[in-house]
Formats: sequence, structure tokens, C-alpha cells
Amino acid sequence: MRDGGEVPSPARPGEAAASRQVVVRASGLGHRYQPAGMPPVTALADVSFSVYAGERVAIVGATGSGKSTLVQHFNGLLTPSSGRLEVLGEEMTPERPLPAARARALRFRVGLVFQSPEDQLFEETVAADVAFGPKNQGFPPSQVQERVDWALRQVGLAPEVFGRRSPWALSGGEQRRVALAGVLAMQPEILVLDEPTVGLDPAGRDTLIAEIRQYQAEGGRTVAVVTHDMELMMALAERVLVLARGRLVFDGSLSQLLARGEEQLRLWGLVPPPLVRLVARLRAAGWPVDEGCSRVQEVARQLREATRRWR
Amino acid sequence: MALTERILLGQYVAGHSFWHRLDPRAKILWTILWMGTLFAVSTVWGYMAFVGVLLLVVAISRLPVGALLRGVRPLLYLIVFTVAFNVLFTPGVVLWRWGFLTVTREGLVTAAQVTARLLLLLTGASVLTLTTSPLALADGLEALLRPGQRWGLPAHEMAMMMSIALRFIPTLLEETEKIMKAQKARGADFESGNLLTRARSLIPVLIPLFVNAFRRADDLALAMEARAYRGGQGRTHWRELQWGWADSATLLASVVLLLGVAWYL
Repeated sequence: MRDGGEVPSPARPGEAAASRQVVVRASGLGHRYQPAGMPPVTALADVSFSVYAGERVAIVGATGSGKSTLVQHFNGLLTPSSGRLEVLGEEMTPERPLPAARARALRFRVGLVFQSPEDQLFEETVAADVAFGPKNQGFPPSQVQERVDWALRQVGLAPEVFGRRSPWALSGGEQRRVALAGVLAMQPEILVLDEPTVGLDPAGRDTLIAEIRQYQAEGGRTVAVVTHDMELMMALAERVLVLARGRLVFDGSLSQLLARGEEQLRLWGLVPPPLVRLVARLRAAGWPVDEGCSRVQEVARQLREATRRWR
Repeated sequence: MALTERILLGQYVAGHSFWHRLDPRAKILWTILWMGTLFAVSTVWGYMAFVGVLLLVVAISRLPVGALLRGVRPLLYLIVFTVAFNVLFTPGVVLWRWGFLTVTREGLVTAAQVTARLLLLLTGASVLTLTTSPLALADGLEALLRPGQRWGLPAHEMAMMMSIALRFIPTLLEETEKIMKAQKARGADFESGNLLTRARSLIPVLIPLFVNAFRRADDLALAMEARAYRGGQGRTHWRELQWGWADSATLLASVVLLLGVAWYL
């Protein structure tokens, strides 16, 4: 699936709500650290929220708002320094960090794609690099091979063609997709991506979004994406968490967030996407357009209806 | 704990203490003096005196002692290794024997001495990098090496290389940390297994680290080239180094004190 255009509308709201199985639950989560020779930094403070199975969540906020720190807790790379975090039934508190073996097992279930993940490629061939995860999971070679082929196809790279190439012979966009395949090959229940679209051209971004959505839709997997790319948020998320200076300042649906208006978004360090500004202008000019409209088609439909009525 | 929290070497802690304001040339000479005289010391009293001098300097420079000690931690393995070697393989008066392992009195003494030297060497040298900004350090080094230019010593290039190296230490540490985390996220295990397994588990970290370092070096060279960088020839400085009486006094006092300690104690 790669239409490159508008991504299909989100799943019916009832779908995720029906199962209502919590996969991530943070209660009063805080994280502090101490850089050498400098005062301690509070990266996260008192963050509480739940993520349900099958949801598509965007975690947004300005640079330094604690987004990346937050998601690195999801797979046990970081341990909370206050509060509690539960991920897929594994519990982490400052007093009881996850034992190393359990944390490692959790990492196969919560796949984390880092920012600029192409920086981590290391094997001689694309196939060998993608195989790193499943191999660590302990799958026999035949199954590893199967998963590698599957993952490469998921990101639109033919395994027969790309599998044998060196990762450094690929373009930046292809390298990023190989790195994504490296995480998809573990088939995690929760897929977390940290700024996946940074540095990609618009076509590359649309392709990536489509691939993420396809993975999510298969088997109702959960996707959390950390970003300050508002276009990505609009295209992918049904729910949004906004972080500002380490605190959770908003938790709600995408349309609820957009309905907060441009001024509020700017206060949180977010630059509203053009569509939101267009809706605001239209409303200011007296057009009956719903606040919180997140799709161009929806705005167009409402405008069409309004003009028809006036005629 | 994160790597950047542990390793202090090559990191500047901004401040306005007397020691911070000393001329970088004075501090570089002081560090050379410190290292040189340290190797001439061989008695307990001598080491005590050096510890005293170090504490005095740390107090003057108002550096956090905890941070200074944290910087020593990466050297721990080296120290443990040297101590073990010295204790077990120095011939002399046998104190204790178990199988082929013997502990001698001379071994214990040498081990203690080597440990003291390594610790004092590292902490003394980190005072320089902690209190001197990389820019000042490079300027100071260049000024000290300039007389050597007559004999073909590339003073400016050496100073530039050093300041680039220092500049990239934190960057590389951050990068190492990020790559380690990314590979851990794919199930890499750096903590278990024997030494060989652990060494092998670092391959997925070292290869991307080197690839990125080379790419970064290329980018940097290109950026310097693009700004028509041509080295030190005819280059002027915004901040001229100024040697003051405080620099002479500090250096003179240190020469007298450290040489005295090395000579008499």
C-alpha cells in the first residue's frame, strides 16, 4: 500500500475502545538524571496516562520536552526515577527496576525505532542487519530468514534485490527503511518510533507512514510515534499526548487537540499544521467549519455543504 | 547510568575562579610539571604532599570533588589490572603463597605506588581540561609550540587537531550511548557472557561508531574547506593570550613546591 496521498480515515472509534486492554500505563512517572559537572535535570515529572491495545498514539512536544526520554522507558532502556510504569504486564518502579533478562524479553515485544536509525546499521548485508533482532530472539535460521524477508517486504524493499546489498550502498531513505525492518522483524506488539520522518523527503515520508499504518493494522498492533512533525501526527495518530517541559499537558483525541486552537498549540511549542490554520481563518471569516477537523476532505465536504445551503 | 554522566575527561566546567582565569599556557606548563615531578616521587610523604597540592588546586578552582572522582571511574579496570599484576608477579619477600600465586611485600608496595601515580596523574590532568575551555587550551598549546615552527613543527595544525579531538569526545560518547541503546532495543546483550562474548557483542556498536566518525570527519573537512580554512598562517586572534604576574607567581610557586617535594620527600 503506497498511494502517497491521504491515508485512509482512522479506525472506528469503538474498535479500540471495545477491547480496552491497557498495554502501557504510567502513573506519576518521573525521570531525573545528572550530567557530569552539571546540576540534575528533570526530564519528566508526574506523567500519567494509559495506552490501549491497537491505538495509534502520537507523543508530541517541543525539543527537550521529554518525548524521547518517555518512550525509552517503554522497553526498559530507562527506569523511572519516580512513579510507576507498566508495559505489557511488566512493572517498573525506581525501587524495583526490571531485571536484565525480563527487560531484554520486553524489548522484543516493544520495538523501539530510534531517531535516525540508519546510524545503527552495522552488518555487511541488509539481510544480515535485519536478522540481528530475530537472531537475538533465538529463532532458528529458517525462521529468521522468513522474518527478514517478511520485514523487508513490509518496508517495500524486495529481499531478493536488497537483501545482499551493503547497507552503505543504499540511499538515506532506503537505509531508514532497512533500520525500520530491523525492528519490524521482531514483530513487536507495540511499535514505538522516535522522529521517524526527520530528514526524509515528502514522498519518503508518505511511504513510511503507509508502512507504519500497514504494520499497525495487521493484528491490531499498537503504535506510538514521537514527533514534532505535525503532518505525521495528523496522518497517523488518533490520539495525542502533548509534553511540555517534561509534563503531560494534553491527553486526548486528535480532533480534541486541534480544537484547542492555534494559540494554545503555540504555547505548547507546537506549530499548528496549515490545515488547522486554514480552519481557524475560515471560522474567523464566518464559515461553518468544525473546529478540530483533521482531514482536508472533511473540510472540503463541510465547505461544499455550506455553499450549497447558501445557494 | 549513562556514559555521559560517567566520563569527565575532556569536559570543560565553566567558572570564574582564580584557576579558571590563569593563562592556558601557565596551566599547560603546570600540568607538564605535575606529571614530570609525580614520577620522581617515591615515598608515602611525597604522595601525601601531592594529594595536598591537588586538593589545594581543586579548592582554588572550586571544582566539584565528586565530579572529579567520577572521572576516575573509567580507569578502574586499568588500576585493578595493574594492581593484580604487580601484586602477583613482583619478586621479593614472600608474604603469602597459594599454589602458583605468591604475594610479596615488594609487590604490594609497587601496586600501591602505581595506583597512587595513576590516580594523581589523571586527576591532575583533568584539572586542566576541567578549568580551561577547549579554545583556550588550543590557543595555549599553539603558543607554546610556536617556537618549534622554526624546525618544521606544525604548531597550529597540532593545536587544531587536539581541539577537534577534545571537541568530539562528548559527541562520540553521546553517539556511543545512542547506538548501544538502539542495539539493546534489538536484543543486544552487553552485560552477560565471558570476556570474549562481551567483546564480540561490541561489534554492532563499534562499526556504526567508526562509520559515523569517518563521515563526520569528512563533513568537517568539507565545511572547513568551504570556509577557505588555511591553517594558522597570518591568522589573528580575537582574544590575545596575556601572561600576567599571577601566572608567573603560580607557576613559580608550583615549581618550587613540586620540585621540592620530588627532591626532598
